[in-house]
Amino acid sequence: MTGLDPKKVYGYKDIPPGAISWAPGSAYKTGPWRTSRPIYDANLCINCGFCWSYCPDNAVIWTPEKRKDGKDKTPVIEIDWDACKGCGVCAEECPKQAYTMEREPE
Amino acid sequence: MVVKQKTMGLNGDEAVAYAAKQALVDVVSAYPITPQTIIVEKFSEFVHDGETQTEFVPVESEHSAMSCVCGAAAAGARTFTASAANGLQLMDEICYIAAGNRLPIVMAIASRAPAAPINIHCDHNDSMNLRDSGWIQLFTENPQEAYDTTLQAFKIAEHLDIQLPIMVMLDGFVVSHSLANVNMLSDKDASEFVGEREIPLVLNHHGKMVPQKLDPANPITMGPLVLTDYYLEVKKQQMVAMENALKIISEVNEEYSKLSGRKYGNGLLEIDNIEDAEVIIVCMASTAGTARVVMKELREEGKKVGLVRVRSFRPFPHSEIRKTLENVPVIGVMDRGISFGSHGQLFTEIRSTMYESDKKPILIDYVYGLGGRDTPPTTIREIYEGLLKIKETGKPGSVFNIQGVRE
Repeated sequence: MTGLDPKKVYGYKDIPPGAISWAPGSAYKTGPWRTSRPIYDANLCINCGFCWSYCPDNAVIWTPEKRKDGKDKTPVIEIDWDACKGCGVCAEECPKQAYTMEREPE
Repeated sequence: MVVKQKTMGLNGDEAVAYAAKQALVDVVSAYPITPQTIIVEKFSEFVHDGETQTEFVPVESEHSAMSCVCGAAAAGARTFTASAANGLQLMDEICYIAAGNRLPIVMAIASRAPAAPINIHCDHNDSMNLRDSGWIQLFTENPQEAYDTTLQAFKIAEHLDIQLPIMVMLDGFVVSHSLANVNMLSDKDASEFVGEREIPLVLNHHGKMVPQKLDPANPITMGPLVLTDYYLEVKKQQMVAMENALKIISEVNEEYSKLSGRKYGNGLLEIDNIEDAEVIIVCMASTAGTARVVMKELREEGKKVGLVRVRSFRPFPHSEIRKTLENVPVIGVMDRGISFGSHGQLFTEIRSTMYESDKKPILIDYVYGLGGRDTPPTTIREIYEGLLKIKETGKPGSVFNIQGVRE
């Protein structure tokens, strides 16, 4: 449930005073800002969650319980492409270089 | 019915401190600066002596003082601070934020000239610097009015149709440090008049109407990034609130007069001897007191002179000013501030307003008293006599004058 519809255009009489946020931050898609995208390699991933904790947009969806033990290579990361703006923090912070940044097509 | 009151010998600063205490303010944060210091000093005594439950937050700068009261006001508290001159200028950034976030903070300003050269005396350029920041600005004439207006200020700022911060100006030293008889309401009458701070309801991001305050039970986001798509609409809302303030300032002035027996014109303007006046002076703050004495002397000499004191500079009462001034042939505007490269701020405002009138009075600007240069009755008399001469000859001479400046 959201306040006002972020897709509509409102006048000064409709919006709350003092610019109190009338829609949640998730109502605004930052995905289209992306010029490059992180590609995740489950074989290198050690399930540490650094990417999840550093992502400024909560775009990393981390499900650590998907792996049974330390040897399990099941993918534990999904990316919310509506939110990921391609900043590359996940790739920068990953201790095992499990992410590579790939240019989006022009 | 006018209530029983107690007369105390107070200077303007002390009078303001008593009013803030009686308004049962929740949070005070301030940093000392002459000539405002006594306000906060007196208030900290009240806190120390247990006379008030107020949370008093001493800070390391005015920037922090304003930030602190912003945070407290955002959490729903009634807040108060005070400053002047360079301190006020250090608050500048946060003053705009207070107004944009619609935080009804009350701030007393003991008007003082901004440096350089460094000076501690009366001048209105400090608050004029924040003319466009979105704060309501009321200029008071004497310690009694400083007390009365501080009480009124909480009611005005917190009114649900306004929700804007407000500055109450008292002239540095002339009012801030001058002892006068001040009639004070009882604590009970004062706090009942001001009432409790009412929090408006606002639409939050879940589509729910919640109190407009920071509350973990009903979270809202204040001060978000607003770019090209909505900034203009938010500014229009502030303009509407200022228009509402014109009406509310008058109403609060009226309501207060029924309680206290004291009234300041219609709350926006105070008008004396205007009906048959050939020349008048328009001014603000303590100078009006001196001008009133001179006006009476000149009236006794048979000169048709009048006086208009502007109490509310923001919002500026455009239509009231126009209706009041348009039948006066010659008007002298006294400005205790100067906009370098232009004129005095009050003059600019009045001349702009008078363009809407079909009549075209002669308007002359007299910048005076900068940096606390003394403004005795003789100075006012010179101005009145100059205006009478203009009326007689029809020759206005120089539109812009710096009264008493040595060549």
